[in-house]
Amino acid sequence: MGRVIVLTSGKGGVGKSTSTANLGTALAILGKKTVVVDADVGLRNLDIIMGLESRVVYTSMDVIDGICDMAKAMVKDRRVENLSLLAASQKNNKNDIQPEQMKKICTELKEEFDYVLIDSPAGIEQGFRNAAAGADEALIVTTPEVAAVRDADRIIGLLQNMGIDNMSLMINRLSPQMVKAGDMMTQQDVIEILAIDLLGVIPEDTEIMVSTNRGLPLTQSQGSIAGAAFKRVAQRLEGQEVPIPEFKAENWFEQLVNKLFNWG
Amino acid sequence: MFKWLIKALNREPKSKNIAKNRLQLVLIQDRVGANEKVMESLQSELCALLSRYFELDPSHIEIDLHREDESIALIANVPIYGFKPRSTPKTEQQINSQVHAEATPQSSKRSTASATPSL
Repeated sequence: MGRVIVLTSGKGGVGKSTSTANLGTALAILGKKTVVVDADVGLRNLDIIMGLESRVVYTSMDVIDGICDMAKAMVKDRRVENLSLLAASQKNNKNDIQPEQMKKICTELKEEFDYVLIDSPAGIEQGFRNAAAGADEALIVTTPEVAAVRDADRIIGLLQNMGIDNMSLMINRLSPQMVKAGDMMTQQDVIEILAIDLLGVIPEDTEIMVSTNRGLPLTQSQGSIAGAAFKRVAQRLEGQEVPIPEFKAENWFEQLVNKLFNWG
Repeated sequence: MFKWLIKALNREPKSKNIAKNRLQLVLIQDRVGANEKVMESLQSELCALLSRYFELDPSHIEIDLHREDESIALIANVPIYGFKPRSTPKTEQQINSQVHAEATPQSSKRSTASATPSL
């Protein structure tokens, strides 16, 4: 029986879909049968971030409507073994799916997969409730900004009311340079405010933009700091003891060296 | 040079500390606002305590959080109709059990922790 984890944040634009794509890829590379589910009905995005947009034929809505079975709706990633995507319908809206139907999908998926990662839409309405309905645990994604942390706190309260007590936090887009300058909250600040367990910290990395442009999640390749951080999060999900490093700001010399190396 | 010295002496607090303080204050209001039971249980416990000393009408008690610039105050408006000097005070134990009976414990681990902000 697999684990159903919803990635959610309240606020939009903090990196839920990018995190779902990268974490899903990292788990699949660890050898775990993983499916990423786009729960953002009407604003489907996970497929394009993962580079699978041209291969989507059926969606979760078609499974619910009985137009096709689950196996047929699943898009297998040909580049990464063990990784599949269940896309969201683009022509429906969030109120066309009921929490019970989402629960049924999750129950079916966790029979077959080790990990079911659900990419929740932003907001606290029906779309979020559908995304969380079938989840056993939640991964709260936030950035070290006041608006994102405030919304994360609200989401944590709502998930508790829904009976999801197994929650952990992932802080995305932490900039070591800004933390060093005292202009960004540290990971300790954010945990102190939200009072939940920290699963990982993803440093700000321009490579993320490049990877979403190409439709190749960073965790598919080596060498990026954010990709490495996502891989560590996957290992921690697997119960491995991997410490969360303190991300250090580069000094002028390291900046120069990196610039020279990234030139070609 | 002089400008630099003034700037160094009047250093503004780091923006991340401002962010943290503002968040901590706004989250007190958010959390209480999202959890009506907290205020209900506070009201009933407060009422049980005050009625040891005063005659009052529980339905007229108003409790609210009031935000000032850098702090949050709990404002309670309690109209009283009389003082109870001669009534024999109950023992500590009796009062405790009464308070517990009226206030159903419901707040989660997290919201009790958040009730003690570092201001």
